[in-house]
Amino acid sequence: MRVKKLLLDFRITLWLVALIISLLLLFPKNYVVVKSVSETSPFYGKVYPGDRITWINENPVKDVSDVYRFSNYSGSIRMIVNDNLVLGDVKGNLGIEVEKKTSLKFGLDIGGGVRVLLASKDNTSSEILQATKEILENRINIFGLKEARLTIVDVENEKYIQIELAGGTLSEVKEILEKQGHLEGKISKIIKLKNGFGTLRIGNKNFEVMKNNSEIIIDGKKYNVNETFKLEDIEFQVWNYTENKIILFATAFSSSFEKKDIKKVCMVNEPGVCQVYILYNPKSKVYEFGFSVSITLEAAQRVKKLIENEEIYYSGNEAYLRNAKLYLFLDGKPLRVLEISAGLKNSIVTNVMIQGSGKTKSEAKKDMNVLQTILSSGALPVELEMVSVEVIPPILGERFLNEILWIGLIGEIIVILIIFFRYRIPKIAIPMIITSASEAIMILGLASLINWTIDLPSLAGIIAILGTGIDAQIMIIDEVLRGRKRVYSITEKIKHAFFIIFSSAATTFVAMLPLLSAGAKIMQGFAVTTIIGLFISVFVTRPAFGRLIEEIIK
Amino acid sequence: MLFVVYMYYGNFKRYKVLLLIPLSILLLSIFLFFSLDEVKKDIDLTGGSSVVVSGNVDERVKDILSDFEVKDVRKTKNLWEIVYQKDIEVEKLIERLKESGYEIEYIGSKKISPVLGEKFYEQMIRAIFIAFMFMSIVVFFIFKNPLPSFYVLFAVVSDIFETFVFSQALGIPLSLYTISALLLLIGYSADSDILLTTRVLRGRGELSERFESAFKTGITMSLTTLAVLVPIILISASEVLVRIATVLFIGITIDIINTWCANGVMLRLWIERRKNEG
Repeated sequence: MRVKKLLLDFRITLWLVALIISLLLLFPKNYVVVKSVSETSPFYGKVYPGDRITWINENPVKDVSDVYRFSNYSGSIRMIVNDNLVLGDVKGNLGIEVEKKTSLKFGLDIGGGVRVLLASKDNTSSEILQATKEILENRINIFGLKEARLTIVDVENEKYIQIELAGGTLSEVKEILEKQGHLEGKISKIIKLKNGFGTLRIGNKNFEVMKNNSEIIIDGKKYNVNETFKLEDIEFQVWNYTENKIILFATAFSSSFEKKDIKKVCMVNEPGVCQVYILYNPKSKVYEFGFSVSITLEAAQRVKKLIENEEIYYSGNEAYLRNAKLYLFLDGKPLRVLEISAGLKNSIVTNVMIQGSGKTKSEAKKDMNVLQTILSSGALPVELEMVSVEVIPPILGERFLNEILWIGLIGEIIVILIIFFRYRIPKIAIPMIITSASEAIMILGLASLINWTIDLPSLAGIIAILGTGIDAQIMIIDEVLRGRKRVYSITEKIKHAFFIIFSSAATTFVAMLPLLSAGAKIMQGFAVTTIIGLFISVFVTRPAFGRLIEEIIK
Repeated sequence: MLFVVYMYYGNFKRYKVLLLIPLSILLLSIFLFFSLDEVKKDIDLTGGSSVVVSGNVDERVKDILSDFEVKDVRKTKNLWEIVYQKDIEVEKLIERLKESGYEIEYIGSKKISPVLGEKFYEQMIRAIFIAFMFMSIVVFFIFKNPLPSFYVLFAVVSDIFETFVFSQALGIPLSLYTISALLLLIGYSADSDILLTTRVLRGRGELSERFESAFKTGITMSLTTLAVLVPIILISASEVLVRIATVLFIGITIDIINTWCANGVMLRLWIERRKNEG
């Protein structure tokens, strides 16, 4: 009868319901998450770490075993990844590693990773920063880095892009994030001079070129070295000159934020569609890589116009242009000089090979991946600067979770000992432990509900709240046991305790408010868990504890 | 010591003597404050770089890495942290140490630009003031009585100031983490003062009895909190947690004195004077 009455008490019911909901929220989810995709997998480039798999070949995926069943499968595979159907032909190796996750997300300082704060080098509007963030998001996805979290944070009215990556090395991250990705393909044009006069041919048009000492006059206008001008809608730059020739650079194609001449970047070799290779060159003893990009028709026509009058020379069986070469620039820095095949003179070609090399195969591959990623995500509208970089090792993380459990256990034992010496009533230890534990579970449950990432400051916040929770419990016990004279009823005494509990919760709450936004939100977790914890404990766990103590002491 | 304080509370008429303890601590901290060369700040508030390595490092690295402008070499549990000012890449530092014969392993690193660090610092200092202002409003709202509220605020300000000075003296630099601990301390230290003031002003029974009961409850609360902090300081390999816990430990210890010997005594004086005035 007493138990039934206790269970029907509003405070106890609320507490039990909140506890059950929290436990349900913390249970592992009914799907698996991709941990890694091997390069030999037919799903490489289609499925990325962090993706959700819910279904394979008409079978729901609830556990890792539902995926690993297909590890050595041969045949076609139909997968539902992030609610989209993905197809692939598997030949005995699925090449996907998966893991099951609870809905709790842990921060970098627990799981390890890289945290970067990027600032734009010039003043930018928040729309442009938003666009930059989206491109970076895209880059990180294409590069296949593990779970990334990008946020725009505000420090003293200046906006920064904060990127948190689980995994990835510093050098990789630097290259993908810091490069603006402005690719330019420039074709060199050499104008031969006779007695200071020459001709610049673009398509079927001729323009007069004159040189008088250091003065260069093209189509009637004077230019200095490095100056740019436009002819036939093509941008030219005066690069250099000698006594009898002038060298110009003509921009054939360019991929900046405003101008997008690159349509598609080849990521995986697809014969007949696009090309990707890494080969060892025994002559130069390096690994050479190349991948094709397709440029717009407009850019291709520009290329044709620029080279159709160029001379040809033969090297072995291949014919190349003698004077015109393709110079690739990335963010204004020279990347590579490429020979132009003579075949391009007579046809419009929209495929260009981007080439490079590395000392080892993995180096070549990494460089290629970085370039592919940057080019296919497009250029950033602004130049970025890393203002803060943190590399957080994962080893600390694993040890840390063990540590937290020990600290919790030892702390709880000490508290119980103190309580025992103070009150000498062993049975009040039980509701104390249950209350503290349920408080922790509810904070974590609510954290998973609002999709909060648990980082170190968040855990510190939870510890702090459990500490104040114990303080409140002591206050309730004390108030109930105080004075043998029993001037008030127990209920009244608990009310009295709650006045103090509410008041002190209010001071802690307001003290935590400024932390919600200060310091690039690094300490936000501390404030959020403390505030969540305060609400849970003041409105749910502490009233229930008061009721339980009433019952025990009666 | 707690026992002495307790005796004074319950039985002695000369409880005013207790004021000497917080007063001397306040004077000591003011003295310490002015003898500090500068406020010690961590790189998240000044800008700079730090590398964490495992293995054995010693003070000699300061000379080996002289061009990096090494600010600090410190050990937390079995990891070493090297803090330096120059904007040189981490890889170069690790390389240099390995060339010099140190058997170390790179664990992690951090780099913050001075401009950003400066901004963080301004923001966090402002956060302390805002938190304190909010807390004052809440306290005045709870007691609706200026003097007792003022005593609470006085105790909290002393707590925060003294904790700051003592942790600086112990070599704990200000950082995002330690300032967060100070913010939490604003809430925490107000708690014990609220308990005291509420029990004394709203309770019934003999005045000394009310003080005594408030004291018992408050001390149990503070002791349990201190007890939970000890294993964190001793066990945790996380510098963040150790620093937060250490600052809280100092703060709560100081809070015991400021709550019961300063706030308590002033409150009692106030009540008795009011009684005498009729």
